[in-house]
Amino acid sequence: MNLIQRYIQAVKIELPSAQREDIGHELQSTIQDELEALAERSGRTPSEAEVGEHLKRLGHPVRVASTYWPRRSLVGEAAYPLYKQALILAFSVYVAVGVLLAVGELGQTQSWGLLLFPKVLYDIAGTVLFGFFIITLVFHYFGDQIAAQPFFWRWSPERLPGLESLAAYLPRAQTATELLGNVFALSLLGVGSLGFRVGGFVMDFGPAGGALAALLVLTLLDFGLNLLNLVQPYWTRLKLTVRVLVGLGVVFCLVQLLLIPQLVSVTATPALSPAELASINLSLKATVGILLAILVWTEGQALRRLLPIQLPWF
Amino acid sequence: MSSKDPPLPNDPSSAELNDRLRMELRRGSLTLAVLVALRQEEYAYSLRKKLQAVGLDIEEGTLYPLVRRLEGQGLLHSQWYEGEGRERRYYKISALGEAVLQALIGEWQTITQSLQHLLKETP
Repeated sequence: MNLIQRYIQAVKIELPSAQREDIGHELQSTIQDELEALAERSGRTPSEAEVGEHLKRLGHPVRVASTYWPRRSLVGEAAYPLYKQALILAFSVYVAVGVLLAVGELGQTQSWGLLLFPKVLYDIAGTVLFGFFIITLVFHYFGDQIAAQPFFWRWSPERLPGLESLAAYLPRAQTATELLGNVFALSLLGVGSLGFRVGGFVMDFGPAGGALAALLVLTLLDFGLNLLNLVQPYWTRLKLTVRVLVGLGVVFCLVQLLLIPQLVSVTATPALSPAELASINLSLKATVGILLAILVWTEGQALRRLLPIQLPWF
Repeated sequence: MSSKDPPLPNDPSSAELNDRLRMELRRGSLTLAVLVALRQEEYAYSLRKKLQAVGLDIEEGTLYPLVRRLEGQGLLHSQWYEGEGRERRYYKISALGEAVLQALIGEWQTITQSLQHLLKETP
């Protein structure tokens, strides 16, 4: 088999099957025309090396074959805006449903706690990837028909949110991240409320019970607010007020935790020394302190950005 | 220079940008040129030579698939003929192709005239 035949076969493998023979045949005829022209210019039959050079100039078989395919992108230009919206909407729904299911599971399981969080992340990532695959597949095959539907025609300027500034816009990806943060916080608070038990090692957060219960309620409120933000991705005065009140409540609870002399009591076999117990309490308080500082800083920054803006009430 | 500044004329990215814009400009005119050239029957290689002879040097990887696409759209028709010891596929503009070509020429002339006016007004 000579170089040209090998090249043509390699191109044909990558061609649409219905046109494979036809395009292959024409490509072979064209290459022969080009090599004949080369022979005329040089006055001799091209050597194998020259044929090889010519084929290399034509390009890799995969690239040559790709130019004959009718579509070179997974999703066409006309369908892309709808495709992007569909992905955002689907991901938001997946994350929200995934988080809701995780919260439901939190209420039923006894031995959960921190181990649940990676599982939630894994489940959501798997669902999101599968959704991405399905949506891309649908838009690949039916994108043009979908783009021809009047999705973008049924709108009116009156129904657009009255955003004075884009700073009031809440990206859904950010909200989805905050929802995952809520689940993580709920996992931690679950450990705090029920106590942490591994074998004979028991951590009891009894003295902090009131503050932890309050934090649990506030986290659920924030979780609800974030769910609403997935549907309505911008700040309103009402939502900002709720957020500020929740934030203040969380700050108050965290300060209360810091003020409790002994945050946790530990029962262990053999028993912990007072120094070891003090060390555990100090670590926990340092963590609470860091959380408090991060919360005050991030919420303060958000408020500084949002307060000067004229937000819609609802 | 910040990333928002436009590329300078001697910047390599400026040459790339020029190339890309030139390609975009040519791409639109290419269909027009091919349809005009195929008012006479040609096979792929002879078409390329014909366009080359008038200063339109188009790569094989661009021209041959374009011809197939135009045929798929019904603007060209083709037939295999045997000659000089082997078969070649010959293309010619179809009736639909001729009608589309007339419309494209009208559009091209309008654009050219408008651009010439603009160039005269803002030399």
